[in-house]
This record gives sequence, C-alpha cells and structure tokens, in this order.
Amino acid sequence: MPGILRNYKAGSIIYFIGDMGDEIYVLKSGAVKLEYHSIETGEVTQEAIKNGEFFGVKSSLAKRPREETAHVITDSQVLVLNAYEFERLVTKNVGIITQFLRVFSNQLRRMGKLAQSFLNHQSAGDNQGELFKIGEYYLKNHKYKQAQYVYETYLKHYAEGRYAAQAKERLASVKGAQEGKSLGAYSNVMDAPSSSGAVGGSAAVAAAQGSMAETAVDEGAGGADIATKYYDAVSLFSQERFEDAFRLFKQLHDSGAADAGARDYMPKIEFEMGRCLLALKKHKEAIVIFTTMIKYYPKDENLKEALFNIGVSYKLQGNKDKAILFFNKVLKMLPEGPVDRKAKKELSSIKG
Amino acid sequence: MHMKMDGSMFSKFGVTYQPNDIIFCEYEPGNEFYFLQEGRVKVTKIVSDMEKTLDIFHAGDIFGEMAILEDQPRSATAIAIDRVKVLRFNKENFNHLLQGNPPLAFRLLRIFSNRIYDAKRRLLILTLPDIESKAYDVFLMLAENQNIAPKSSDHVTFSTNIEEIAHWCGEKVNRVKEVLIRFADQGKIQIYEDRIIVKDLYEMFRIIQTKRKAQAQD
Repeated sequence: MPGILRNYKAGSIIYFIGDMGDEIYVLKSGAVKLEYHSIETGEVTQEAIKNGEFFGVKSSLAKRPREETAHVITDSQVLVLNAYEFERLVTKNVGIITQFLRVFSNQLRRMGKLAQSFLNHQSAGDNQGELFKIGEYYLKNHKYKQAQYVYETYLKHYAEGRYAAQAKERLASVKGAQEGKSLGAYSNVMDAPSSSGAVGGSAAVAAAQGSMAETAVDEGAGGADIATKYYDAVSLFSQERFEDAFRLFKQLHDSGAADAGARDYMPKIEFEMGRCLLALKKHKEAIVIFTTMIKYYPKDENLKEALFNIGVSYKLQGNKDKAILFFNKVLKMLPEGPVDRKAKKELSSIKG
Repeated sequence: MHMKMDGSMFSKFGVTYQPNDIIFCEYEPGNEFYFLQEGRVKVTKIVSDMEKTLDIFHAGDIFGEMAILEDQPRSATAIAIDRVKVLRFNKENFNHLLQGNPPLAFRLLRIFSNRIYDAKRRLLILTLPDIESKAYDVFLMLAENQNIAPKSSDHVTFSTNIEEIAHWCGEKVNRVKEVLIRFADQGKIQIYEDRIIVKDLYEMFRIIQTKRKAQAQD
C-alpha cells in the first residue's frame, strides 16, 4: 500500500475549508467528521467518515480549494496519499473509480435539479424551437450539410413538432441546393460561400452575407435570390420577429408577380404571411390572405394548415360558428395529418 | 496519455465522421458520450446569431460526457474539423468501457470532480436574491475561471455578451440587459458586441460578500 500513515489527536483538524492541497485520505481508525455549508439548505452540515472511506478526493483531483473542514473527533489514524499515489492505486482497481463516478454523478444530478428549481420562474426552455433555430442559422449561412443534419435531427425527435412541416420543406430545399452544387465543390468547402452558385447567383450570396435587418430593408436589387430571402423571413418568424418577417414576405410577394422563379414560392409566401398576421393578432387580414391562398392554390400542401389557421382566426375573433365550420373542414379533408389532432382539440375546447 | 483501442473496440463502438460533419448539435436530445481517437473536433454555440467556437478537442479527449448524467439536451454543437474517429458510448455500455480502460475512467473522475465545482459555483449565483447581484457574481465567476483575483481595481475584460450573462444568471435576457445597461450608465461596465469591460471588480466582490453573509444569517 502506498502512502504514509499519520496519527491525529482528537480535536485537531486535517484540513480547513478553502485550503489548497492534493492529499487524499483514507480513515484507518478513529473518527473524522467533515463539516460544510450545505448548498441545498444553507445550513452547517456534518458528515461522519466511515473506517476505510476516502475523503478529500474531489478537491485534490480538481485542484480546487477544499469544500469542507475535516475535524478529528477521537484519536485517529489516517492513510495519506498524494494525487499520483491515489491515481496509481485506483487505476489498478477500476471498481473504486466506478464507485466514485456513481457518487459524483449523483451529486451532479442533484445539483442540476437544484439549479432547475431556481430557474422555474423562467418559461421552461423551448428545446424544440431552439433546435429548429440552429438549423435556420446554418441554412441562412449556406452551411447546407449542417442545416441538413439539424433538420433531420429535429424530425427524428419531433416528427409531429411545431416546426415539422417547415423542417421537411427546408430539408428538401437543402438537399436540392447540395445537389445543384455538384462540380465536386461540395465535399469540404461547405464554409466557402463563393461555391454556392447553385441557388440563384452571386446576388443571393450577397444578400445572405448582410445582416437580416439589412436584408429586410434592402429592396431586392434585381436578381436577389428569392429562396434566401424566403428563408430569412422564415427565420425572422422563428425568432418571433413577426412584423419584420411579414414585411419581408410581403416584399417578396409584391415582387414575385414579375418573377417566374418566385411563382413556386407564392403559396408558401402567402401562407407564411397569414401566419405572421395571425401571430400579430390581425385576424381579419389573416383570414383574407389564407382564403386567397386556398382559392388560388387549392392543391398546396399547406392547405389543411391554412384552413385550420382560418378556424383559429375566427375563434380568436369570437366567431365560434365559423371556427367550428373550418375545423370541421380540416377533419373532412384527406390525407390525415398532425393538424387533424389540433383541429379536434380546438373543437372540443370550443364545445366544452 | 496514450490510449490505443484494439480493433474489436472500434468495430463495436467506433464511428467515423468527415470534415464538417456534425456529431451532435445544440439542443439535440442525446445520451451518448464520445472518446476521440483521431482528428479534431470543435465545440460551438450560436450566440447572437454568430457561431462561436468554445473549445477544440484532440485525440484522447472525452466530450459529451454530461449526457450520461442528465436527460438534458446538448448544450453545444460538436463538429468534426478533420476526418474524425470516435468511440461512442452510452449508459449501457459505459461500464464495459471503464473496466477495460482504467486511465480513461480516472480521467472521467477528474472531469466529474471539476464539473461538481463548476456546478456549485453556478448554483451560488442562482441563490442570490436579485439580478444585480447575480450579474456581479457572474463577473466574479468569469474572473475566477481566468484566475483573475478580484482584489485588483484594474479594468478587466471578459469576452462575453449579454446573452451569456443572462444564461449564467438564469434570468430572461431582456431583464438582464436592462440591468447591464444601467450598470453601463453608472460607469461600472462597458458593453461591446464581443466583450464586456468591468471597471471595479473588487467593488463587486465586496458587495457579493456582504450579500452572502446576510444570506447566511437569515
């Protein structure tokens, strides 16, 4: 056995709270108590060390001040190891390490819970929304490979999540953008924006480089890429900057009529404009735009969502009958999707 | 520490990543941790719409280890810099790994010891009664992390921002922003996009000490 044996008289102290030291101790005989301020209760707490038990481990390994004062209660014999001797001892006996790991991980978990209890005044973290936003960040910066990973991860964990529809949409266009690149440029120059000629020429890159606020004001100079702007707007929406998002969508919508490339985006843009208006509590205008979208693009994939959103708008206006009408329309329409469940929920809450 | 895994270990737990591959991303649920065998991995976080690199890991390093403890989502993103080989473990095969690899187990023990200290330090901030003192204490913690003694009344520069301070305070960003702007108006700090300069760390230190004493007597 490495280390040295040391004898302590009753009433002496092995180390004080706040001391630095790399020694690790094992109680051989006698009685030792550790005294510390419990972070949980704020009170002075004592803990008796059993024979054969280690103490002083954490501070030694972390090279941090002692967290407690070690009082000798009766005459005691203690084995003292330095950090190196301790390492040699336990790496020959992994069981000791795993025991410590168990104790330490319990402590960490307890502290994690305690920290949470202090944070409960905050709205619980919106992990789902935050994950989606990470994808938005990469997309906006043309890091398609990373964006793809994030959207796929989002869908893996939140297949019916709030942003699932958008994540799918993004994923499709991210894949498109990657394929469009071809020319072997893709493998490891993801970070180089100059290689992203795929989506819509150099203007797109320029638009994406600017801050989002600038992009929003910037009156799409000539060929500014509609896909980029569209995603900027969606990203503003996900940041809950609804007015900015609406402005950008509207700008896209107004310029889109003359732009053949924008046509595919029109139903999406109208749908998103509706969502912005709904978020801004402009229910009447929201209904108008969703209705327009349904009229002109009756086969769009967001059709059911649009109907549902009209229902919500009516509900928020206080028009129960119309709301019920639209929620029922959602339920009658195929294919069934996550939105059906939402419509059912709305119906039962209106009726109940 | 040299730790070459035998082939069977890699065939069981090994995963290879290409440059720029994401290994896991911030807010992703996950309970695996990684033992880096080859290549480099960077850890990033998106702060104020900017991707910030927090750390770079090399062969022999362990990362993502907190996941085996908590059911919390990842707190940062891990991205392969080079072609990367890792061994991936979870709660179930964790023991298997440790049994065969005492030096790794010991390293993990050291990491956990440090984590406990960090977690405690963070808790100390959260127990303070108001945002002002929490913010002060965040600066003190950041100073400790950089081994800066609060005694000095020199200006101290922290490469941090309001979001990060709010995170450590456990408070909403808007509220912390208000407080920090007030500090700035009072000349206590200067706020820049990528850094905050504290004018008198010692004063903050004294105030927090007094608060803690008052708390202990409650």
